[in-house]
Amino acid sequence: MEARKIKSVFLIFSLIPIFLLIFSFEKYIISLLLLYQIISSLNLKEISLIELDHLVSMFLLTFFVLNSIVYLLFYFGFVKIKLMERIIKKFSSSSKEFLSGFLMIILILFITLNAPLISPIDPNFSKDVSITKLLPPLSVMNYIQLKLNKYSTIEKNLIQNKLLENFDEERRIYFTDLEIKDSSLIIHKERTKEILNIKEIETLNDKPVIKSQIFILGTDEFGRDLLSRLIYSIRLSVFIAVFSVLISFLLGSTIGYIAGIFGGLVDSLLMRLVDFFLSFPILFFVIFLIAFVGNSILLLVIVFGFSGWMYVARLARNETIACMKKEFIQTLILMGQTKFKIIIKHILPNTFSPILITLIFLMSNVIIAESALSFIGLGIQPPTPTLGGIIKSGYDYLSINGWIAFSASLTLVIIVMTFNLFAEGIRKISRN
Amino acid sequence: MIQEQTMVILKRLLVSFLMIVILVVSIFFMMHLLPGDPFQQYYSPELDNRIAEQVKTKFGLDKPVSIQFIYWLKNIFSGDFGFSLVYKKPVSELISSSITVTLSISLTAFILQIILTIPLGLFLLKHNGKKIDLLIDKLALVIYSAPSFVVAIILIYAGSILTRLFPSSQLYSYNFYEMNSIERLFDLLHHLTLPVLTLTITSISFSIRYLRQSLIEISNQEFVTTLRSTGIPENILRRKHILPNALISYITILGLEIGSLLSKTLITEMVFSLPGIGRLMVGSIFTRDYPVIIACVMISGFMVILGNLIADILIARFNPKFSFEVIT
Repeated sequence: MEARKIKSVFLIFSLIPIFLLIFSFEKYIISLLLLYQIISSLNLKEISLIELDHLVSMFLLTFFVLNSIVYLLFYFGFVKIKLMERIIKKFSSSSKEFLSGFLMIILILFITLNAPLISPIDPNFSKDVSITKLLPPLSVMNYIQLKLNKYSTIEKNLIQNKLLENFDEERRIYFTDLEIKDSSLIIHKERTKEILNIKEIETLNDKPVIKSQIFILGTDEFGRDLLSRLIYSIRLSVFIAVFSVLISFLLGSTIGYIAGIFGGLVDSLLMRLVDFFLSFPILFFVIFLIAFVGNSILLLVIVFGFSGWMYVARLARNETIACMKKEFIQTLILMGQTKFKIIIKHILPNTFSPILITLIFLMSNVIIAESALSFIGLGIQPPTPTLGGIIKSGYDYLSINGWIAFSASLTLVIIVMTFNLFAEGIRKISRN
Repeated sequence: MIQEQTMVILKRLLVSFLMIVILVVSIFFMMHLLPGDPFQQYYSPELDNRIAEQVKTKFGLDKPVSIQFIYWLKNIFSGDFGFSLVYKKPVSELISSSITVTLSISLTAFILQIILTIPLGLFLLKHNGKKIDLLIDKLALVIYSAPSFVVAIILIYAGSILTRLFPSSQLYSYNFYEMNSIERLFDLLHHLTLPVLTLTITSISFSIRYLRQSLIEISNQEFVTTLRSTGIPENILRRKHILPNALISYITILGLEIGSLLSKTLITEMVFSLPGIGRLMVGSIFTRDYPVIIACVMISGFMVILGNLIADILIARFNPKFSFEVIT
């Protein structure tokens, strides 16, 4: 591909963080205020996990946006960056698969890291299910908000109040129609009515403040925002895939390098172990474990990690044996280098790319296996959003609203294909 | 060479046997490591202690674990898996009815895949480099990336919700027992079309890319050019000279397919709610029907181990150079 084309593709991708910053600007500002409050009071104990999540994702979003701004400056010729030019040159000599896989992986990482800021609403938030359930994409719902003091009894300081005012989703009341009679407010929700005093509701000049919420991908059967659920489920899938593949990598490469470098009896024993695990019915054993032990994210990570290490071990061993035959390694052994140093300094970098390819393929396998398990109801339990779980709920409502199953399936296929494309791209590069 | 192959096969036989032993032993000891006594489900706590002891002696539960294990093994290998707590039937009866469904779906799909993949591969070789070839290759990549339940959902949406051609679930219609035998056969086929199609499509998308790759690689070799220069017609060249050479790697892929056949069928059974062994297993996990779970895991484990054994023997016979690296 030409360098100019790649530059413009990068431009489109660099616009995504800026666009998402504008999209989630309110949340971003509130996270900044939260940060200010923490710094000014230095009270670290009171931060909840969710707030910490927000803070981390705010920092990362800032980082991504700064990157994009630097790239924009570079693109329009305000600054010259030699590193960037070199990267573009490298990409222009590589394959299309690598480029598209790489950019998609960056995008997936961006989504997973910034999930709290990007997602429009909390993924498990549902209110007034009778009118918000199974909405089609791009539908808008109007809502009014209850006054703050009705729910929160604890007096908090100013900034936290502000946070609650804007993002306490529990105080929302969705409606299809409103009527004002004297001091009471009649809220219509399709078939039911609700009557509230106007004093309980946030008002401006004695009229209720009507806000609206857009559901970009519609809602599921409990009125939860599908886009937020998809974002969080991508996050969970990638999290499980990364950590289980990390386990496979550590276990497999250790065993493989030991088998490759020592050879002889150790090698043949370890390889029999690998053979054994390769043809062991892993899926059925996982199901058996889940039936007896119960399921949790940790169990899934460990089990998937232990089901993938054999491929890494076999590859690491074969590559090490091939590497050991090379002259420079033989020279190093004659010079008296220790085996440990040879592995770390010379064999590991030389065997890196085939192992990386295997790890990425393993990742896509883990994502498929995890979603399959949650599809049949044995994986991570609802209400935690998982791709398989969303597809399952979409499958139950397939004849009414096929959109849920379709969008979740598409997301899953795109993620798996991204990993496959990326691995294939690396393979093509390392062959050349 | 032949001796080497028999050695490989003997080794694999030994490993498979070892694996079955480990599977059985680990399942038994996991059962015993768990808290709680399965026996408690059968008697009330108000029962006289003496009678409870008598019942325990009758079932052999007072004996040490090692002797219980031997009894258990004896029962398993004589086909007695105990009694289902939910269905109130012997487990072996449940398993034998569900395993026929599973095997018939998966084997039909497997045979269909072989019948369809080879002509498709030849077709792609004929149009090598043209738009249709690239299109099918990309399509295969997309379908390969999709898990089987996604393919199943798409097929259900297209075949039973939009066009109402095929039923979306169950093995037979509600009035199955009022039909005559030919109608019953057609009813079964009608219900099994979508599940079999799901399995076939997913496995074709996996194998066609390899068949295509090896067909292209072989058609670039020198002997093909030599044969072509002697004036052999193209289609005979493709059919009689290129294809047999490419089949070696295809058989390798088929071998790998056999091993993963059962786990794919499990998910397909779940989507189409067919009464196969996978659905029986998952269903009994939700109802905590432990005898059924243990039997299902064991039977499926046996089948997977057997499938892998067949695959390895096939590969050792046809493609001795092959090393089992990750294939994707």
